[in-house]
Amino acid sequence: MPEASAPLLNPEAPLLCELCSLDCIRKGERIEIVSVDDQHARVQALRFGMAEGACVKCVTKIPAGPLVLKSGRQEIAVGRALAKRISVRRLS
Amino acid sequence: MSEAHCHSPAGTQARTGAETVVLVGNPNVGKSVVFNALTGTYVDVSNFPGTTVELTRGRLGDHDVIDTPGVYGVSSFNDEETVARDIILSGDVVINVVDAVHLERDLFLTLQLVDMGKRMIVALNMADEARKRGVAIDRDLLEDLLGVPVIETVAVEGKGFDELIASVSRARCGHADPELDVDIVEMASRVGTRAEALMVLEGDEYVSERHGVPAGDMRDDVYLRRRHRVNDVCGHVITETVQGASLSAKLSHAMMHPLTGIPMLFLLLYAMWVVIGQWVAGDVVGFLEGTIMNGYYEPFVRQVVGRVFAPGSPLFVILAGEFGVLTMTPTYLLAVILPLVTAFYLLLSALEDTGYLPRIAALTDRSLMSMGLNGRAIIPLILGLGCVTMGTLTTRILGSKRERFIATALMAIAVPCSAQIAVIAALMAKTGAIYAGAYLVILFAIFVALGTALHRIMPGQSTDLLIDLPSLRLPRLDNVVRKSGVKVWGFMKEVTIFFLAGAAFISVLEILGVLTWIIRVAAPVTIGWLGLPPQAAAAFVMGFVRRDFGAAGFFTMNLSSAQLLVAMVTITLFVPCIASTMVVLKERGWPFTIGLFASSIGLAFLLGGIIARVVGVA
Repeated sequence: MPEASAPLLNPEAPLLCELCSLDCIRKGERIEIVSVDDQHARVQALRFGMAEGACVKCVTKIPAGPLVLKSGRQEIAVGRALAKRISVRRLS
Repeated sequence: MSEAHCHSPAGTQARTGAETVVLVGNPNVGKSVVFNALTGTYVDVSNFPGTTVELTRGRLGDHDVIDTPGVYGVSSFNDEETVARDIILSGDVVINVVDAVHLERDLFLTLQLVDMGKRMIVALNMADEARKRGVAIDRDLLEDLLGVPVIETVAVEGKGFDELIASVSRARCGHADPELDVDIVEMASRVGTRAEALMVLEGDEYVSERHGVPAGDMRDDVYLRRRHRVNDVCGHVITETVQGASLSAKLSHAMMHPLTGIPMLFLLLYAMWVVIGQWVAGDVVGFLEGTIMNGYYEPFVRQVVGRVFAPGSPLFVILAGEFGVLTMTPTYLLAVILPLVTAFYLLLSALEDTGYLPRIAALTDRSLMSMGLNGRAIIPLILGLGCVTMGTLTTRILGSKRERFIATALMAIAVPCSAQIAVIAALMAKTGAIYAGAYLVILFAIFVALGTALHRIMPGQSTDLLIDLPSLRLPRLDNVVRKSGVKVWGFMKEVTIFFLAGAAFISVLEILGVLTWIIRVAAPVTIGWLGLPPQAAAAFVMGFVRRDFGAAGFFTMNLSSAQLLVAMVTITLFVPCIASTMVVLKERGWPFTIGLFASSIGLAFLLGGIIARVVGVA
């Protein structure tokens, strides 16, 4: 499917990639998941197709609450505290 | 390549008699509908030993068919997964139901089953819905890539089932992860089967312990490769026509955003209260309990029992007295609990089908976090508004012991159940709007304060929200009815014995004269501290038997509005009813239950007394 199979950013062009934690992503932004600092969440994320390396879109950001990520037609809500422990790279 | 593993020493477990077909799939993919279509009717619904996870068994020709709980993967993260894992390990053939709309998610489990070396078939369900959403799936290619038969089904319309049944004999092992081969064959020679070998390599502690081998540490690698394979398969078989933001995407957003989501949630709660609190608890229960049970059934039983034991004798009191196991117990169970729980589970199953619940969880996540819970806890809490017993049983879905502790305590202390809400609403309707409003504000404040306090005091960490948001869809009546039927049956089976024991216990107290003694002894508290008539003590004791009895006891006391406010707050905070106490005891153990009683009685009287002083009745 188009989103997950999109080519990863060229690692030789690091200036284009901005690393930050998931909770500072705004609604509508497309991101690549870099790392998940939680054993259980990492396994669940893999099952939902949002593993490290996956490209997803933030479709909703609830004020002070969870973020909703979308990959293909799959949507998951990620609590804010967990979002702080997920580092991502902006794609757009 | 994987054919070889299939027939490796114990590729499928030898069983006497019939082969076992196991249905496996993610939650909400229509697995139960497939099960029904395969087996006709439910043959046996039982709890998996040691858990409350329901197991449904049926027959398809010569095969035994077992339905497993919906899981996202096979391992031991929770009861559902453990149960599913053990059934899959012992099964011969797996029918894996996947949701065509969410293939990227569902194929992860599929490939895990393939890696386990199970003979299997994939039922590609909801293919019609996927097409409607602009997702076309190349079934033939999917079959080639997975290496197992793939049958398109539309479970709710019964399409594709004949083909599915016919293909059970064609079930075969698929193309497993080639990089796993060496390790898995080596491990299989130690633990018996390829499936168990995979569990060990993926670090499943239970399976490893069972075979006395150390748990593997390959899970991250194996999962990551599996995820890449899933993405690869999806990239090949799915053709997507992109659509703009649909109505359901907008609705989904509205459900989770506080500005729109909170009014929607309140609307839902209000609608539930109208249906359950007013219509079912009022009209239906009124007729069943008042007219049928109290009018015909109980007098009849008293007459029959009275012929054998003299009225007033201890045995008569236990069997047919005010709290008799043959009088009050069936009345309560059949005329009160059964209709309420049925209505609640019907509504809840319908809600589950729509996909609204996980969105409520996302909406309330932020607020619940300040109480040491995450959004998931809203599900038992809403259930607790229907029946605390039901809510307590549902705390099993929470991720940690700490969260289950907090949620159970909150429900048992500060959440009135629907039966009680109905009586409280009727009583508070007699008072002014100020008092009714004050009741709501006070209870809400106590709820928040208690949750926050528990969060501060309790050691440990709560888990974070990570929840699948399924597509929004309209519930299907037949599915809702069948699902709630199973749940109501399970619930009634679970509480009946507790209630019988509780009723007998209260009867013994009555025979020993403990009730009148309590009214006398408690007078300083009821009159002096709370400013209520002495009979209020009896109402509190009754509240233990049945929370709405407790509240209803105040009907005849001619209380002022201010006294009613004191009485209602106190009775709401007061101990949970016998049935929920028993369930709390079973779920949380003695220390918790004793602590719960001490704190709910303490809080009830402390706050009741303070309010009594503020409103000037004591």
